[in-house]
Amino acid sequence: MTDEPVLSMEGIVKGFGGIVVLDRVDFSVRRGEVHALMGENGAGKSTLMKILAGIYHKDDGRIFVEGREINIKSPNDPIRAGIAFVHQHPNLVPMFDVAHNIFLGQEPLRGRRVDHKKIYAEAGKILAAIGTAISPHALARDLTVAERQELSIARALSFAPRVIAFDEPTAPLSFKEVERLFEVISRLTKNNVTVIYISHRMDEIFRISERITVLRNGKSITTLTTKETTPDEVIHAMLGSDIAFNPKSVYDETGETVLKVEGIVTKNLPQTIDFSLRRGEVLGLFGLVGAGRTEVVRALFGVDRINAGALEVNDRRFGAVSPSLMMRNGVALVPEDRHALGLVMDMTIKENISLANMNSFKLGPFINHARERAAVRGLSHQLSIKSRGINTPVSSLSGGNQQKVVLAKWLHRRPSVLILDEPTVGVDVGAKGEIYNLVNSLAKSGVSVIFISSEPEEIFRVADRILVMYRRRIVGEFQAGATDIKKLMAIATGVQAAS
Amino acid sequence: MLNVLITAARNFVKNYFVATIMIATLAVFCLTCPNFFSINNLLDITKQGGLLSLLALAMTMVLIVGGMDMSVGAIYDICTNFCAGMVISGYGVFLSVAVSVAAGLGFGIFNMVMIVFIRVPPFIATVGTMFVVTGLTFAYNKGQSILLSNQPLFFSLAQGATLGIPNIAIIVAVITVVIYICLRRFRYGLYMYATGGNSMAAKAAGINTTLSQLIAYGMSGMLSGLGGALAASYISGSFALGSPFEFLITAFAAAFLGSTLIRQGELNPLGTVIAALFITSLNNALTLYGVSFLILPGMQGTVLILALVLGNWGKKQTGQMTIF
Repeated sequence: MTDEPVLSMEGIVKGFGGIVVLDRVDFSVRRGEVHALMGENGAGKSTLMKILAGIYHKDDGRIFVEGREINIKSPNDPIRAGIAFVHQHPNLVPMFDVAHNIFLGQEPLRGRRVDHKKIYAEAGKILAAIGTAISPHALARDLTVAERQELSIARALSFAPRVIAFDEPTAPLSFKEVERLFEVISRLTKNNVTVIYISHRMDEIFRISERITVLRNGKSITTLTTKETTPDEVIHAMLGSDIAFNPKSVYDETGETVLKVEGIVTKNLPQTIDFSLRRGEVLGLFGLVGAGRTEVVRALFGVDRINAGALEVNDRRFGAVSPSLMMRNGVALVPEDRHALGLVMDMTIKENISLANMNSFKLGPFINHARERAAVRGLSHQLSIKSRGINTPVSSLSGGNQQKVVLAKWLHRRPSVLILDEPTVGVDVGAKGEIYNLVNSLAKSGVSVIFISSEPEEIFRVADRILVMYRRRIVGEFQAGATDIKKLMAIATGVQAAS
Repeated sequence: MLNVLITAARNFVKNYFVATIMIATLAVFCLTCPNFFSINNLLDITKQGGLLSLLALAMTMVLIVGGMDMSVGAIYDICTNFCAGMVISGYGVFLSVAVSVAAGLGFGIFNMVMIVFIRVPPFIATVGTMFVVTGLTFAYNKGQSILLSNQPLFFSLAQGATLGIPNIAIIVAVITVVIYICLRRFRYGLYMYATGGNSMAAKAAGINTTLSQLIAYGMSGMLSGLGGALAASYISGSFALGSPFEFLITAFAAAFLGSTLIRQGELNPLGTVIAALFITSLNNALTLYGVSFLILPGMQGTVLILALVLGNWGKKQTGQMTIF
């Protein structure tokens, strides 16, 4: 590794309609390093990367690759300069096979015709190089999320790049898939490829990166050497202050049971599931992707039919349930995929919140707008949703604030049991803290919360009690403070049985 | 040996379900309708099916880029009138056909300006074009049909045959093969599919999606225009009042039914032409059975819906079905 930067962006300025998003940002990476780019949502990371990718055009500043200034006008320009991107949601053509997706836009030709044979041969080589089992002939629409990501890495590699930028690559991946990704990254850096790594997961950053550049409010704050810094220092740089977590309040252990799950079995949960939830308790449901957490939620909401066992909600017993029945009985679910299931992105904050609560705003056949506004303002204030007003479209909000809108939607119904499925995925550190605090204050006000997560740190931060799932069974139960991260991970990965 | 055959047959039915149904239907026609399998009737089907094929290919091109062209039937209609009008005025066969194709291209360009540059949703834009073009047709023919006679060279285009093969079949075959090769073998062919499959991905890959759409709408207009010109040859003139809706719905049905012929459910020119010939056979056989033409619209609608249902059924993800 030399100190000569392979890529450097200097004094980058970008504004949208009078609002400065990037204010003279400097960012430079060295050959063969993993360089993390961190910052809260809205700090300017994505904008900076989109300028590099040729999707946005910078207002000012210069970009150099190996000392030579380059002019990025279209997505083709960075490719030519040896810069490739692996996006969080890979953009693929679903009806094309893997090989043709890899070479989309840069098909090898024989004469003027597309050389399909060469496409398959070259694709096979690249796929083998990253050690994946996907076939060049498989259709992109049939791939899993992890395979799509591997495809998009293969595509990035097909350009033989000097620099690859990964945008939140591990968000959709399971534990094992993350390990595979890290192997690929280390193989890349060994071949002198530079990796720009954008992630909110502090543990990953500290594991794989050599340097960290922090952006805040569109400014480059600092570049740290990972070995010489601490997560706290990075968080401080990101936020400009330390986050204050409200101390966890201890719930009343004698409170009545509001939800009782007795030996339920569904087609996706072959072994009986039992647990209960007290009033004001935060129950952490921990497990890796695919451990069966979502299946439990599906069972509770009657999405999967309950074949045996029963549910008790607020002392009412049910053998069969449906989403509407559960909602009527005070159970609310905030699903994981907020884009697909939780929000209408083009509608405003107000509309999104009132959509699910029309009944409480009706005035005869009309909508009582005054009451609607008042309710939405109240919720918006309670959750401290950061926006220009309740008539802002949710698509313009950051991930954390979008998640708060989804929460607001359900909180308006004053649920007695709130189920949060991975509420902090894709949410920045500051907003994460706010969500934890919110869960705490909800619990204090008597709401019982089931908090599903695959991040042990946050489970420890919010939960009073932790259930661990592995292979669609509940394999461990701990009181908060009675275990540690190592043990939790060991049980959740099946390395160790719960004692 | 028998087992092997049975397995092969079972696999064929499983992989080519729609094709099996088509073959079975045609077999029933052959067995129950003596006139269906006569040489003359089959030649007739080829000619009519050839005209429909051109229109269905026009539709296929725009569907591939994720677009929509409701005006193909109307463009076909006006070009039939243009061509017949020019031939009767003595402009000569070549010029008449060329002008018809050019007129079709003109309407295609009109569509693409609205859709690609002004960003009018394709459905609305081309419905507008359909009515504008139908209005222009009436303005041109003043409600009169044109009857051509004594035009042996012009008539030979769609009515004649070379070495026993109808000329129109040769024309359609050449066009289909050329389109097929362009779509499969040239980069812009792939890029058109990529544009329809995921235009964001295509753009991110540096593909000029605007150009793919321009190609598609331009081709669509030209193919509709050519179809119209050959129709004038086939019916020896033009009708005062064509049937743009009927042409449109049949072209749709052929494109979608054609896409269900292959397992991936991808729109493809070969499938489109096969489906167009099949739909023509269906109409033909129903006429031979003595079924009233009054049920034909109902029939065509049913075929279209069946094609869409089969298409969606065969696909996990409705890549190209989500255009509406």
